Amino acid sequence: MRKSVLLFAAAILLTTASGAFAAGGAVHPVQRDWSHTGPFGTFDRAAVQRGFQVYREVCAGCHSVRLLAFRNLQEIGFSEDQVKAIAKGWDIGIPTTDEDGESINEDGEPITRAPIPSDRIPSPYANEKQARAANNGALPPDLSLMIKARIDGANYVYSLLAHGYEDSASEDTLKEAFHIENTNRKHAYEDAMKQYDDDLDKYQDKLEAYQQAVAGGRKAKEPKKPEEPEKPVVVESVEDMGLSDDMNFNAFFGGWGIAMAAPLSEEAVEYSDGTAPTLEQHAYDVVSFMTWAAEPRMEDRKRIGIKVLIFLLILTVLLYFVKRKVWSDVH
Amino acid sequence: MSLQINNRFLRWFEHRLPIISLLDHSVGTSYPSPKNLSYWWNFGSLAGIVLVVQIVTGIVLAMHYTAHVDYAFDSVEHIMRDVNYGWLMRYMHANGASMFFIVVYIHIFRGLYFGSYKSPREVLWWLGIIILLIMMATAFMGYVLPWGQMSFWGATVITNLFSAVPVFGESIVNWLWGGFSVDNPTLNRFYSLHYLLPFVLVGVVILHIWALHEHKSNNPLGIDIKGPQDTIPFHPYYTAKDLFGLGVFLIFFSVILFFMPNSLGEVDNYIPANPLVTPAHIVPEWYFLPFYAILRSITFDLWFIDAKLLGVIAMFASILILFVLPWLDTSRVRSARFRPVYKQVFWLLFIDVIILGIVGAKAPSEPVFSALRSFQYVDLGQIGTAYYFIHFIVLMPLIGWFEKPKPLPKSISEPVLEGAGE
Ligand code: HEC
Ligand code: HEM
Repeated sequence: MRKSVLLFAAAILLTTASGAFAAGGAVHPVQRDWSHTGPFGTFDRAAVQRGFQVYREVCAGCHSVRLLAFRNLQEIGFSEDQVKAIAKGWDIGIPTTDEDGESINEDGEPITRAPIPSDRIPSPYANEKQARAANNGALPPDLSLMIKARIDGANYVYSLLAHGYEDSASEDTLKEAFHIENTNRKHAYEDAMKQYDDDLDKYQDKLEAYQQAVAGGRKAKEPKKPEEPEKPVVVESVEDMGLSDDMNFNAFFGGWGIAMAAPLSEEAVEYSDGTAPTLEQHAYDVVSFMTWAAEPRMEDRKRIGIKVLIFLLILTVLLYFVKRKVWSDVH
Repeated sequence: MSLQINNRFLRWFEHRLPIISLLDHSVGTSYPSPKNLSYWWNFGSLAGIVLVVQIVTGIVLAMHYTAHVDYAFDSVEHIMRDVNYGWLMRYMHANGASMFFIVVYIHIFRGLYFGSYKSPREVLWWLGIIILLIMMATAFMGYVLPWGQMSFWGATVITNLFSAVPVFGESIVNWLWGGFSVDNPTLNRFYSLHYLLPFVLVGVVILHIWALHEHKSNNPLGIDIKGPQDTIPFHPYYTAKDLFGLGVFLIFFSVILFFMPNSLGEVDNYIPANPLVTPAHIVPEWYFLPFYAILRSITFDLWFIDAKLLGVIAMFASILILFVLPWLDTSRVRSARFRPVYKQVFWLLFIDVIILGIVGAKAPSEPVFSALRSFQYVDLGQIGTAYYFIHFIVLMPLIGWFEKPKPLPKSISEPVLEGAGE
């Protein structure tokens, strides 16, 4: 038994050792305190509302939140009238038809009406083609489930927006990114060299065969000498990463180059509640909004969960004593 | 210990359909069980309860779910957002599948430890393996239904395995798909089968319990029931014990369900399926990982069999080999408590399966240790796979022959004699 416990410990160690290694091509996200984490976590209504404002004024130009309807905004504290006004004032209309059943007007433009609260929030682009055409071929993904669709979603998107771009990344973050990239390049180079050595051996054999053939007057194809892999550039700046022009460096994005230019900056949005409009605040708020959008029923879930757990704990203790009582004549 | 029915109506009914005595003989006072069952014997009834939970939540989900590639993803989100307690049904169902596997895997390892597969319980054991296979098929097809990225790509990878079959491979795969790729016809048939199979499962579970009742439960000592002094009626003893176990299980389930409902899933499945974008790592749900590792560890051809086919064979063989385990195990002693060597080897197998699970989650070419880059997960997987089969094919027969078992107690009711067990 002791032996097996030891072995089990070894297995655990093995995994953790490898976990530490699995850096991949991005820096581990910055961890922030959120009001929505933990068993009692709830949404910070004010932050979610501000985040919606950030979404509306900045992100909505490119990103949809197609699973949200305007009426859902009442759940985060907007009044019915506010929601009506938000819907009515939305930039993009809802496709509709006129009295004659036409869906396009004389100019060939689609006929639209102003959204009402029961409508889903309209997407900025009519289709994927249009979205790509407007973004250098890149597709801005829908944000409704973004936080659940990435590992450690809230921290990841927060880091991406507030601490990942060249101008906003800390010295340490950049250093770490360069270190990871240099390690990856070193390993790739080592692998390529190994392959090169093998290829070179094979080439020598083929060359000998070729030379013999030529000497013997037979026809043969001259083998091609393998190319030696180039030594990788050591990355000491973002420039050394060698990203293409339409890509922006971001330390938290896999592969370092993201097609989205830094969407947020200091004072990108003016808050009416007097909150300081820093870059971090904007990112925190918009992530709070996205977290709510990804799972609007989270608060119900936790609230009910606490009740269920209390009930089950009491029930299980009672069941334990019932079991003891029933079994008392057996033991 | 025959049943007394006092209510006149029930007596009238029982005379026409003896269902009350049937229940009584199954889980009541007339079913004698060994008196020494440990908590490891709770997992069978738990599995049955989880199956019911899956069926009930599944039927509710089916009322709101749309099996069409254009609507499936959104209909699941509609369940999550707009249907009253839809999020609860969906999270119960998705995590319930994980619970099902946790419970059943413990149940199986219990059987391996205490030799529950041995005579006269071979058919009972077979039915258990059939249950496992049907569960796997059901869970695999269920995972395709929300039509996220992992649904689509998981289905693509796994159905493609059948293309390894010589000659007919491609035809089989197209037949499974109902077309030339995983698409709407695939989703529809998976939905149909996903609805059907759990009910088939119920049927096999009934056979499983029937076979169980023929020879009664095995027990931690692994010796036969010698007489009434060794047994107690199932009710109230094991009903009380099972209920307490159920409480503990429900607490565990609730913690995951209410506070970390996405921790066992893949984040990629919150991205709608896109046949044009392949995810960086395609991984199955956690409960398939050891088998996935075995599948991917075969990277070499053998004789005329190519690596892909061999991987598929190895993967299926890793489960099918359990069918012949009762004959591979040559020991006359059931319980590992009295088998000093087998007990060690049992834990090695357990660790091996855990390691295979870890391997299944990793990219094959990833190094296991950063200091030794040439040793990759695929290598670890090959060692783990080899050991898995060695355990069953080599160690089980040999240990049965060479091991000197500890003396067995005379009977369940006097186990303390002669230093039995721990
Ligand atoms: C000018 C258009 C534009 C604006 C404005 C914009 N984005 Fe993006 N965003 C993009 C594009 C394009 C991509 C795809 C990037 C890629 O795949 O390389 C993207 C990708 C993303 C991603 C996905 C990153 C990943 O892991 O795949 C997130 C999250 C995101 N944006 C959030 C936001 C938020 C929050 C805002 C508002 C503060 C915003 N974006 C504003 C164009 C935009
Ligand atoms: C053996 C029992 C069952 C198992 C192991 C099982 C497993 C699963 C799994 C793993 C999923 C994917 C969950 C997700 O990630 O979203 C799923 C989805 C689904 N299942 Fe089942 N299931 C079972 C029984 C049933 C039954 C009996 C029904 C219907 C009567 C059903 C209906 C559905 C539906 C409609 C979905 C899609 C909705 C969703 O993805 O949440 N299931 N199932």
